[in-house]
Amino acid sequence: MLLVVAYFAAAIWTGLILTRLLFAGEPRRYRLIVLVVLAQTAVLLPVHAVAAMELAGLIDRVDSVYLAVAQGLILCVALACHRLYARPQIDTEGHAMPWNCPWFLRLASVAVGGAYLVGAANALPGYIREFDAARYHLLLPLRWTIDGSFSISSTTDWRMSMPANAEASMFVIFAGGFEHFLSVVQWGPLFGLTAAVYCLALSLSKSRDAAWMCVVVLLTIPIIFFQSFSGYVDLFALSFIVAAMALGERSLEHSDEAGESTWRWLAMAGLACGIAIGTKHVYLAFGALLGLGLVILHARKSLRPLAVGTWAAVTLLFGIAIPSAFWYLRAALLTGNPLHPLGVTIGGYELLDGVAPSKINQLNWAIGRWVGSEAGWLVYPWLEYQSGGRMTRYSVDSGLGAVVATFVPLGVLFFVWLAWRRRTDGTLWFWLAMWVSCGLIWWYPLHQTLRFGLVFVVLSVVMTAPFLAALSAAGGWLFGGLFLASTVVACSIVALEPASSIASRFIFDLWSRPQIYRYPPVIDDLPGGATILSFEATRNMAMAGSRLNHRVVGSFELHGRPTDEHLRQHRIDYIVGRRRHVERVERLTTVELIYREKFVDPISGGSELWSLWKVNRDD
Amino acid sequence: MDRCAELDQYRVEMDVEISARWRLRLTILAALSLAAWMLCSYPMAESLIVIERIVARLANL
Repeated sequence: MLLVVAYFAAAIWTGLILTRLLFAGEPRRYRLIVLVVLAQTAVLLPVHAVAAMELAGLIDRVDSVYLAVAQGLILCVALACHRLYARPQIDTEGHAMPWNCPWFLRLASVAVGGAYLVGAANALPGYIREFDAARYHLLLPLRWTIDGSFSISSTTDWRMSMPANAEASMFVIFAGGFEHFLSVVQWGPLFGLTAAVYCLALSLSKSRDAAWMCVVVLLTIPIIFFQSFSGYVDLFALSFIVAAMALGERSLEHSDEAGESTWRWLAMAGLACGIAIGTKHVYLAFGALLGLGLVILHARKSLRPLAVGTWAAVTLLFGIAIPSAFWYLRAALLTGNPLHPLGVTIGGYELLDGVAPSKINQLNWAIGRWVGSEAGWLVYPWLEYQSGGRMTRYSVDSGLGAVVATFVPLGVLFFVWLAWRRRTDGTLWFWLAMWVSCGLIWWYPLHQTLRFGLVFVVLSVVMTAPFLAALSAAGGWLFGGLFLASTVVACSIVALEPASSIASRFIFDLWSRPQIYRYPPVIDDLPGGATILSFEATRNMAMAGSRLNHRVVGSFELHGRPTDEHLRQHRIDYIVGRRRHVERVERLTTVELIYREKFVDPISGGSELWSLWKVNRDD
Repeated sequence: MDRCAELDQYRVEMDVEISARWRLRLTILAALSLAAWMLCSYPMAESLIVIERIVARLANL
């Protein structure tokens, strides 16, 4: 525990030192974003470096001791830089004007804070159970911990071979032997996201009230709320791409020709963008869009467009490479395809061998899941339908919330009107173009999967800032009451599920891991180091056991019905499944049933027949 | 910054002035949007059902 806390504390310290060194005197809101970006980079770099050393054969296995040493080295370098280059700083920011936060915004902030407290109270002592997280996002860092290697091959399942900066942060917690507090890795990025939204909204509206209101709107979005306490990686990547937008926008306010340094801001924007690109392939498209936009704008406002554009592109690419190059180099060197597992086919000619993106993110998946037809997206904010959703249909990939429905569509229309009215204002048109482009990326290549479009949603929230500023500037009670009412309703609904989960934990006395994940405790008694083939998609992570010492192979990694060859290939020791999996397993010749009992769900009272087979391998 | 100063700065910076009548109209539109959400949103309806169940269960205890 101490090692994990020290690791994260050292990363934050490194971030603080470098922020103070490079950005002293800059507005505090931007320094907060820089701090989050630098601290996250410091969390990731030791993981990348140690994993690369293991892949190069310089060390036997990736180990927490190597991580701690690498983190210590980074901190020492930061301290040395501070000692060598730090100069006494004059506070150029001056004293900020006192801000008289309106009554409704104070109360709305309390409501949001309360909802997040309930979410944290539920998540911290519990276990992450959301579908994709339990199925493979958490399995990946656990696999790295047990194998001591980040190796992949061209046959590795796509879920286990993608860029994984968010999972690399979880890996640090697993390497320290912990499973609780995993969702903490989302909180730093969430903090950076709120700071970035505040900066962008303030820059568009010139109103602190409106900027803070945009933060409140953002935090009431159910997808953001639920992902803050989950093992999903969309919020993590989103936070850094929006941070890159805010830092990139700040870089445009400076000009090298006026003697102000832009490279710091561009490098930070690149770092933030690189963290996002190294988290999920989806963000390659958003990163490319932002990078291209920044290079063009820097070139346009300069007297030497070619030189400045080239310099901006190089600085951005250098920043992007630092936290993301490891994943793409690993894929290139071990599989021959830098984008592995994605395959690239142009005009029928296969450029890079891999899985077609449409197989990972299916075409028309959104239809029937969130909307009846594509036109249904026009009314989605008011319906928020999700087929087969959980308690309130809000989840890690569904829901925008009451405050978005109340203000954001009108706010976006107001922004368009404002841009038309101020045709010469390049800033408004730049954000409008970014918003449209992000919408097109979400609509076409990303097939309208809701959580992949979070960048579009967050930009919509930011664009609402002038509307909120216009309505709130007069300080009328009607607007204040409306904002507060919509926030309280949104927060109450998102907090309902975690509150109910906490209540049922007390009522049914559910505290142990098997009780919360709902699996037979016999799994925990299997020998350490055993490899378990799990047919329980939503409980793959549970099969790791309370001591996290089982190597779990998800059934998705077999690519078909299990065979004896699969069992040999993956070195399976045990197979676990329920009634519907029995027929599939009992056709195998090398398995022996060692456990079959009904396990009663303490909440629903329903029972499930669980089976456990031992594999008699001859190797 | 007091509210009047902020309003003035907003008008200067954004070159936009909204009359009190338009502000009221837009606020009413936003209120109607919230009302439409309350009437149509699945999560709103589902959460009311959940609350009703909880109340019924508590009443039976």
